[in-house]
Amino acid sequence: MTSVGMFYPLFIGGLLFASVLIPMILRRQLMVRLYAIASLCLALAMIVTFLQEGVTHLLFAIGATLLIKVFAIPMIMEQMAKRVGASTRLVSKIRPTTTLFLVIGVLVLVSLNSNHLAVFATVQPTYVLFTSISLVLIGFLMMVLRRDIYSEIIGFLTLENGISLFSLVTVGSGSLFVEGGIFSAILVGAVLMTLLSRRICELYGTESTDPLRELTD
Amino acid sequence: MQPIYLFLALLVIASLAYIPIKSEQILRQISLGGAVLYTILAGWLAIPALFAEPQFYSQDWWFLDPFAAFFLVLISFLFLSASIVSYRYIGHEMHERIIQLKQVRLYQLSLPLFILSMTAAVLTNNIGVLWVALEATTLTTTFLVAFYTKDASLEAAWKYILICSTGIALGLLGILMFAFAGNQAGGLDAESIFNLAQLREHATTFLPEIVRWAFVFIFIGIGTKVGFVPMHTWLPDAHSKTPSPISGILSGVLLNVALYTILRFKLVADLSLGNTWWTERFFLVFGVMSIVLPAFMIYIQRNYKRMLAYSSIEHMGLAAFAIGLGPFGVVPAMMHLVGHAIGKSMLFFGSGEILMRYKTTKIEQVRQLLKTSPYTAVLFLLGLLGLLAVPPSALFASEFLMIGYGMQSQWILTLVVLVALTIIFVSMIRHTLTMFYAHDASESDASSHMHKEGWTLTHTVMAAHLLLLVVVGVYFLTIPGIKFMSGIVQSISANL
Repeated sequence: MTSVGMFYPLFIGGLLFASVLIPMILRRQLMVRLYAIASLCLALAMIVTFLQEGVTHLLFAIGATLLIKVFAIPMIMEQMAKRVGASTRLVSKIRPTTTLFLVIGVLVLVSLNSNHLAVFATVQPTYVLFTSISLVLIGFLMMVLRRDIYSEIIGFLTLENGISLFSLVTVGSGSLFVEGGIFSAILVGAVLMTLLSRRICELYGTESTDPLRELTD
Repeated sequence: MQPIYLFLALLVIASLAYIPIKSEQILRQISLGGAVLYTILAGWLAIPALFAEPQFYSQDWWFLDPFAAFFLVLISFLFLSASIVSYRYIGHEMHERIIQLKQVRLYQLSLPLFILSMTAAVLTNNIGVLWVALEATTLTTTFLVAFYTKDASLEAAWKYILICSTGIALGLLGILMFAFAGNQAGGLDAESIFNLAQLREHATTFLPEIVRWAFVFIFIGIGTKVGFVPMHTWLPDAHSKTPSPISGILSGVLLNVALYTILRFKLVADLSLGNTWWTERFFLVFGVMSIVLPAFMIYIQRNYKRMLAYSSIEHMGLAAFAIGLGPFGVVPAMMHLVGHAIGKSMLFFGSGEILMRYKTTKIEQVRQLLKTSPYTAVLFLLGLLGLLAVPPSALFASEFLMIGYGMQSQWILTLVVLVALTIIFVSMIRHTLTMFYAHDASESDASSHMHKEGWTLTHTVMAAHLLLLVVVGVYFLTIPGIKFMSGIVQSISANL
């Protein structure tokens, strides 16, 4: 079991690395694939936890993460985007290098403020908590900085990956009923966002969120 | 009766939206019948519980204390009202060929599912289910916001799902922190850390630092759904773009359900921290912000549905302000939620009538409303006066109590609130009178060609709401009324 545990930092690192890259990518397909890779790393980290702790409830979370986040959501997003002929080139308010500096800034900020998280000292290993909070902030950053609907969806899903990781290290897994509800809500939410994005693309002929500025006071 | 029967009834009603018939009228009748059935079942479940002893320590998935029963009554009342108004509204939209049969089906599917998710949120004893139910309220209404598939509706729906889902995701982080606090304290197993009653029972053993973090995330995250400033940006767009009966439910009861959730966690936090003032500060600060900003937005408003939506933010702010004043403030806050639910839904129903006649939500394009639509106009004005806390409205009772209490404990903030309320009063009356009396000399003035309106089903519902607003208002000012509301809030009082 100890040898399996060696892979844990690798998967958490993979999750963080893929999520750090996502905001810098301006190609839709690559961005969606990176999200799938990040989710795969999350699922693998769950598998390691399951092998080490033997919590059977985790099996459902592992299956749902693989099925929903690694396969279903990326596939649905790509299918919808292709159907409306969405551009593969995405729009960002700032350049990728500036985005990189901002993301690094987020990581440094979380790291410097980790002393405020002393109340979560029992969460081990500590870098997992750092990763989960970083993912939440990276997701936020992406939703604010990017100006296309696909990036906003992926930003939201990255944030949600951070919360899943937080759940994994703090409370493990809830009952099957609740886990099923949460994963269903994530899937339905992602599908609804994708359906709306399709309608927006059909109506405006673009995946940019710039035309969505009509409602003002 | 078990809550599961309520859920099953709603699932059956929702599934009937796709029965293979092509008559939209039959679909509307089924939906109305379903709402009547739900109201009977909910009343059967809730009314005895309203007068029962608080049931704090249920081990089950569902629990029903007077506080939950109180919200269940509000949900069922507004579901019935909105279904009656929808019967006319959707029929009119079909007749005018604004919508098609598939949209009627979507409407009849989404509305019961939306009610189901709110019912589950109110009755659940499991914080995981509570989160799922809250998220489901967003998911089931997204396509109601995008109902007309116009560009502005899509924009509103996009903001709605993205901002609310993000907010509720942050709320999940707070919920997980509460569960983690339970986990760390010991004495709770993996299942019990998600049990609200268990969390309440063991709250005193939780680490206060974790509870503080948890409450901050709950307040900001679920506060987004309540519409607290500055997380409110989705609300005016979504509430102004949905069909008017749905706007009535969104404003009248969905915001209340979100606030209900925060109050449930506030109790756990208060017990854990050993005081109420730490959480009350959040309500006070966000409450005042949520009153002041809408005051200015209502002043510059050009759209009457957006005006009502900003008014909803203001009223949630008032409820939060009252809660922030201390344990006694919770009673006027609950009174306020009742009055707002009755009054605001009435005005949204009325706005639907105005929209049907004038085909616009712009204030400047609604002319001579009193002349062309006297029933709608008079009921709208009376409802508005009720909403602006003119006696004997239920909102007068609540605001009278909260201002009185506020002047004793937070007089500076209370004065700020009073100034904001004055701005809102003047602005809303001014906008309404503009719609009533302004006329356009040009030939394009559509009002001159309109036939005088007749009494409709919507007017009956509005009149019933108005009557209720007055009856409840008078009751709240009596000793039995105050005692009854004090009994309701007992379930969420820390008694520290």
